Amino acid sequence: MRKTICYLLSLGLFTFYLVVLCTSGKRNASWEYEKFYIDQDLKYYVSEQELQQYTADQLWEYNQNGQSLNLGKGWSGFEDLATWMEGEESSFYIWLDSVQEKPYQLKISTLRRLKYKREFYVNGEKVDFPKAKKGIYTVEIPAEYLKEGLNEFTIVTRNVQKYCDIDPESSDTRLLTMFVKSVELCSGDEEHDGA
Amino acid sequence: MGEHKAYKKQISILVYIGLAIVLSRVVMYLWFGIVMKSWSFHDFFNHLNTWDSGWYSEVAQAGYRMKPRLDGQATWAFFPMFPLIVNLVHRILPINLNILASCLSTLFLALAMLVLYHYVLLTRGDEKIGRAVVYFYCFGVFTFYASAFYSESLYMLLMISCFWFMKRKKYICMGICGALLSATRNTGILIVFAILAYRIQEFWAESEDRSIKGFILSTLGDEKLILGTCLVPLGLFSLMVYLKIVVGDALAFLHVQTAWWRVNSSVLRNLREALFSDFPPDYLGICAVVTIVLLGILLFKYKRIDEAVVPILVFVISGTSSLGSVPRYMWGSIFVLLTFTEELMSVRRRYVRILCYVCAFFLGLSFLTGWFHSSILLI
Repeated sequence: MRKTICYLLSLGLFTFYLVVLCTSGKRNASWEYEKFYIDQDLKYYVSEQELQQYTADQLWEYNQNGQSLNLGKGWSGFEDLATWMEGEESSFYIWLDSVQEKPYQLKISTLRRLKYKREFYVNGEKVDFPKAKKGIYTVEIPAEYLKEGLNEFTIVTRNVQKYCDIDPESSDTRLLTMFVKSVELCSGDEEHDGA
Repeated sequence: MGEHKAYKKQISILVYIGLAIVLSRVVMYLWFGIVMKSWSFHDFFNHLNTWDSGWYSEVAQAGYRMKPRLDGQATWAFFPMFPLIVNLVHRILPINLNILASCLSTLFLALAMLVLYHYVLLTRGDEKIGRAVVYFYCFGVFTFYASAFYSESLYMLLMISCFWFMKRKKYICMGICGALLSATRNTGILIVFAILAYRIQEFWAESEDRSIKGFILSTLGDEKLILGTCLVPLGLFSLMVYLKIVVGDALAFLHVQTAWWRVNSSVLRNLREALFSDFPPDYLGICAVVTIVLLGILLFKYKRIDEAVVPILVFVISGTSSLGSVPRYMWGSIFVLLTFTEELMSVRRRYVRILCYVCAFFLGLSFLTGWFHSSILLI
């Protein structure tokens, strides 16, 4: 009798473990949980509602004073003046309640840019990425590449090296690419100054 | 007469352990006063309960329902058994949570030392090793973990209890301790491999029919061993069910690790970097090398495979991302320090042993200073 009870209990426990393991792959977590922990597309744990404040036609700063949290992967921590992009892919998000017909202009203000070839993508679509003028990249974005809701902007940098390999006097082992001060997505209805 | 002698021996070991615990904690407090120039108990317990103590405190107070921080760090990385015990006791004894946790942690250390001493008597038959290992745990390096709001003490108590019951073939008790162990830390479930190694060694030693079929049949025929082993994962899987309900992800305790910037590399690469990238070698690299040597002795000299399995697995798993937690985990795994003690006791020259005791004491004070100053190397 005792033997039977032991085996039945063992079978019950084993079945329980099997059920938990089989169902562990299915998640019922929040959007930000999936984006942050699973997809690893967010630098900060912020909800989709919190990201809605990061809209077009506003300057979003990435430094100790203006700690904008709409960063995706590929960023280091906030510094006094700006934030370094790190690694081969760096992204950020901007929310659009609606998309205008005219092309948009994205201005990325930088304090330093290491010499690499760069590509730029908007929601996965490649867009021409011109050279910076006085530290500011001004990118023309066709309206059809944008969408209502959260838009992802990605800068891809190939063959990134450790900073200490570029500057022997530095001991910084990060894969730094660009020191970004701010971004601003200007809608086509606004008048813009040339970069 | 024999019973009276055994009773006296029991009392003497209880007194020895009690004294070791009390004296070592008094030394910690006195050292705090000397180094930090403050004799306040409040300050002492605050400095004792640093780094991950804050997380365990959050789990004890609010469970797993708190929203993650901006950097993604969340309470799900910290297993619930010890915070749950603190929470339950706090309902009866509503004193300062840090003080309560420190007291409970120290109590578990005392119980762990008692079980460890008896385990050493059972497996090594040498009282001196038993007393010496208690000394090293109470007065040596990392002893502060055993009185902080960390799960180290409870983990050690449950781990050594599992082995104690296993060696005495009380498999249901082993399983209950194992279930609690797997709810105490994520590496607790690895004890199933120690059980398997123990069973293989036992079968190999006792059975004439050394075939796989014979092993499977004889193991499955022991219903208590089967049930005891099946009980071990219960703690972990219960946590998984709970996380699924609260967070929506049964594996939240794994996925949350990304928030601690852990990048999977390899143990060998991390070891190479720690030892050879700069001079002097990294403290973590030295600890890792010492651990490897001691585990090698445990495995190849003493052939205690069941005791070596868990520390080896923990070393490899934790060392894959970084060597940062390796010293603490190895200290908490019992058998690494036990092997060191066993080797030390085999040295004939008494002055060498005394020198080691003295060095351990002063190294312990040095590490304690680092802990009070919240050294990141001890996190």
